[in-house]
Amino acid sequence: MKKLLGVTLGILTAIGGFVDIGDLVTNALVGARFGLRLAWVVVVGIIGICVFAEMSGRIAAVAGRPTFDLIRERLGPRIGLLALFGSFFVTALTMCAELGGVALAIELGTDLNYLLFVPIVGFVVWIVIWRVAFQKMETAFGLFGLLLIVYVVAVVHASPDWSHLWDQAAQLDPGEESWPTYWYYAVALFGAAMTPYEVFFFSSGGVEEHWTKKDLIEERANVFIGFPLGGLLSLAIATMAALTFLPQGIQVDTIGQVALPVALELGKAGLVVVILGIFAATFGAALETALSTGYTIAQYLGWQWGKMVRPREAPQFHLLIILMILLGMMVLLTTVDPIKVTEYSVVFSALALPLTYFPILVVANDPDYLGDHVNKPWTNALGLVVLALVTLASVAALPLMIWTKAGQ
Amino acid sequence: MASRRAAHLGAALVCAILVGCAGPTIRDSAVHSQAQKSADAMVSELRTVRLAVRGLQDDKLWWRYADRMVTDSEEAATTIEATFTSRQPPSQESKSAYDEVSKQLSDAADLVVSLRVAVRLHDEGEIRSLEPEIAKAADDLERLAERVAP
Repeated sequence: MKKLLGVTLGILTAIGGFVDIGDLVTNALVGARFGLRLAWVVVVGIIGICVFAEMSGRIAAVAGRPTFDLIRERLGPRIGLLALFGSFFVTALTMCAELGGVALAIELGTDLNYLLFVPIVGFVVWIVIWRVAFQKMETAFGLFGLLLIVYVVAVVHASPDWSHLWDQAAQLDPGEESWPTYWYYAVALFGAAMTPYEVFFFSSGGVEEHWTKKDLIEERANVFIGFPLGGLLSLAIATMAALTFLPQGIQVDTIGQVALPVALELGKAGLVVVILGIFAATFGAALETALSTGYTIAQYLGWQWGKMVRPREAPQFHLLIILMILLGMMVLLTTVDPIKVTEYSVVFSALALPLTYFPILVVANDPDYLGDHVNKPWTNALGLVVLALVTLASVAALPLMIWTKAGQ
Repeated sequence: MASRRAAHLGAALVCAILVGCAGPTIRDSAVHSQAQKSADAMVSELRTVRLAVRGLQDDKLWWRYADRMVTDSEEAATTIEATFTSRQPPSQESKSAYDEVSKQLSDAADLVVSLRVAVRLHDEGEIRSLEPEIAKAADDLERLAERVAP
C-alpha cells in the first residue's frame, strides 16, 4: 500500500512537474497560430523524452551515478565538454526564462511590474534549494503544478467540436501560415518537450534519492505514465489557445494571454487556479534548472555535488548555483522580455539536443555500467529514431530561425 | 588555418542573423509586406483587449487583470505603430499604402490608450462605448492588411 502510494505520488509529481514556461508559452503560441496542426510534434516529443528519461533514470538506478559523470568517463573529456557546453548554455537560458516566468505569474496576481519581483524570486529559489529537502521540494511543486489540469477542465467545459479539432490535428498543413514558419514552430515545440535539463535533473535526482534497481518500477511509472499525462496538459494549453485565439487571428506574446482562455471559460475561480498553476510550474522548473546547471558542471569536473550535500562539503556546486541565479536575475533586469527569452530558449534547446541525447544512448548500451540492464533492441530502435529526429531538428533550427526571422 | 575558417564562419553567421533580424526598407514590396504584418499585429492586439473587456463585462476577470492585459497591448500597439512609421517608403506608390496604414495604426493605438484610461478609472460606460469602436478598427485593419499585402 505504501509502495503504491509512493508510485502514485511520483506519477502525480511527474505530471505536475512536466510543464514549464517553455511548454506554456510555446503551446499557447502554436495553438493560437496553427490550432492543433502541430499536436503531432508534442506527441513525438513526449515519446522522445520518455525514451531518454527512462534511459537516464535507469543509468542512475543501476550504476548509481548520474548521466554526466558517465558521459565524461565513457566518451572522454572532449565529447563530454561538447555535451556540457550545449546542455549548460541551454539550461542556463531556460533557468533565466523560468525565473522571468515566476515573476510574470506574480505580476498577473498583483498590480506591480514583474521586474520588482525578479530579485525576490531569485532569492527565494536559492533559499528553497538551500533549505528544503529534495523530495519535499519535488513533491510540493509537482503537486502544485497539477493545478494546470484546469486547462483540461476548461477544454471539456468549452465542449468544442471534437471532430474539427481531430481533423485539424490529423492534417499536415500549415493553415494560413507558411511552411518554413510551420517547421520553425515544430522545432520549437520539439525543443520545449525535450529540454535537456529534464533528463539531467531526472537522473541526478535519482542519485540524490539513492535509487537502486528496486526503484526501476517507480522510475518507469513516473516516466511512462506521468510524462504522457503531463504532455496532455501541453495539448490542453494548445487547444484552449486554438479555440480562443485562432479564429480571431490573435497572436500570443504575453503570459496574460496564456491564462486568458481559462478565465474566459471558467471565470475568476479558473483564473486564480491557472495563475497559481503557472506560478508553481515555473517555480518548480526554476529550481530544477538552477540545480541542473550545478549538476552538469560539477559532474563533468568531478566536484562534490548534491542538493543534500551541505554547502560546506560541496562549496563549488552551491556557489555555481548562486552565481547562475544571480546571472539569470541580471539578464532579466536588463528588461529583456522573458517571453522572448523563452521562445529563443526552446529553439536553442532543439539545437543542443543531439549533444545531450547521443551520449546517453551510448552509456545506456554499455554493459560495464548497466550489466543486464543495457538497452533492449526495441529501446535502441526507438532511441535511434528519436535521435535521428533530434539531429534533424538541431540542424534545421538555426536556418529556420534566420529564414523566418524567428517565426514572424 | 582552422581557427581562421571558424572565425570567417562565425562572422558570416553573425551577419546572417543581423540581416535576418531587421533592415532598411528599400523596396515597395518590403513596405507592403511590413504594412501587412503591422496591420495583422495590431488586429491581434485590438482583439486581445476586446476579449479582456468582454471578460470584464461578463465578470470573468478582475479589474487588475484586465488592466494588465490592456497595458501590455498598449505597449505592443505603440511599438507596432512606431516601428512601422519609422520606415521610409521608397516611392509614391508605396507611400500611399504607408500613409493609409500609418493612419489606421495610429488610430488603433489611440483607441487602446483610451481603453487603458477607462479601465484604470473603472469607467464602465466609456468601456462599453469603446468596445464597438475597437471591434470596427480591428475589422478595418484586417481588410486593409489583405489589401496592402504584396
